[in-house]
Amino acid sequence: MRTNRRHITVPGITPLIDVVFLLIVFFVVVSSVVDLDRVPMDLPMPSPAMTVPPLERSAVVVNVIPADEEEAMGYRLDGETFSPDSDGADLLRHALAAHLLADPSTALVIRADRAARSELVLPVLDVARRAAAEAGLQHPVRVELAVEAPR
Amino acid sequence: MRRGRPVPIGLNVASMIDVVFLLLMYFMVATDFSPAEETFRMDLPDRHIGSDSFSLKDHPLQVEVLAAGARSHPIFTIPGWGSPTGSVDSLRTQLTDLLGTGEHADSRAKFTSDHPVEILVSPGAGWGWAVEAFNAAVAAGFTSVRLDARTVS
Repeated sequence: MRTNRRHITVPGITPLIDVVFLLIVFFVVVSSVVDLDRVPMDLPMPSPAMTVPPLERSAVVVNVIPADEEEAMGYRLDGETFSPDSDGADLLRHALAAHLLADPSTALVIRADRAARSELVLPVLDVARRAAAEAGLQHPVRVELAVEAPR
Repeated sequence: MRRGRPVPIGLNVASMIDVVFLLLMYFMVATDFSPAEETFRMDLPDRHIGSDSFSLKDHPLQVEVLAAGARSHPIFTIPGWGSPTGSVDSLRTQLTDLLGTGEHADSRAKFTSDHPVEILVSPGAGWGWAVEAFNAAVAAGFTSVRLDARTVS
């Protein structure tokens, strides 16, 4: 006589694992990881913009950190904040010069809020020029002004 | 004798759904929703060698951005070449005419496309307007455009 045995069923989770991996791949492809070099701000948005995509080669990003009333809280490079005064400018210059010494082809990307007063942004150009002199660069510093990409 | 009834078997997918939602939340948090960025490129002139821009062989064409405040609408001028205007489109037209490629340009181009153009910005003018002037010069066809760290009053 056949005994009545309990039927043990193992659920096939393979398709579910497939779906999970597909989701992982999808999000890895379509998402860009948060970039600490990009301080949230409203970048200039000229229209029609004659811009070019950012260079793939090495670049350092200087953020002019926005504050209320078109002021700037300072400059940020490599996660470090520099005050918007002469001491901060000196420290920023040294930090930039270190980058240019390590790689003379380094480009400087300037990110500033569209409402920021220009006299808070333009000193970065002078800092970059002096950093190039400090690093003994024989060619002009390549500067890129970041704007919001046209939609 | 009792016959064994078929036991209904259901797949418990709750844990998998949990995992999927956790992954969704993780990627939503880690994903950058900020708009894409592009750039304007320029080379900084080596001022410590060439003293100042006025010693350059080609005197740069200057575009001034004058504004009373960062939120106020600026006036764009091309000293010696154009009339002041509050419109970026008008500035671009004036620059295009100076290149001899505009509709209202005379037959003789006053500048070549590689002639240096300097954007000078007054204190208080918004950064966005400085970039608009830069964009207008590039759109007009000038290939050597740069912002100057000096301000204009």
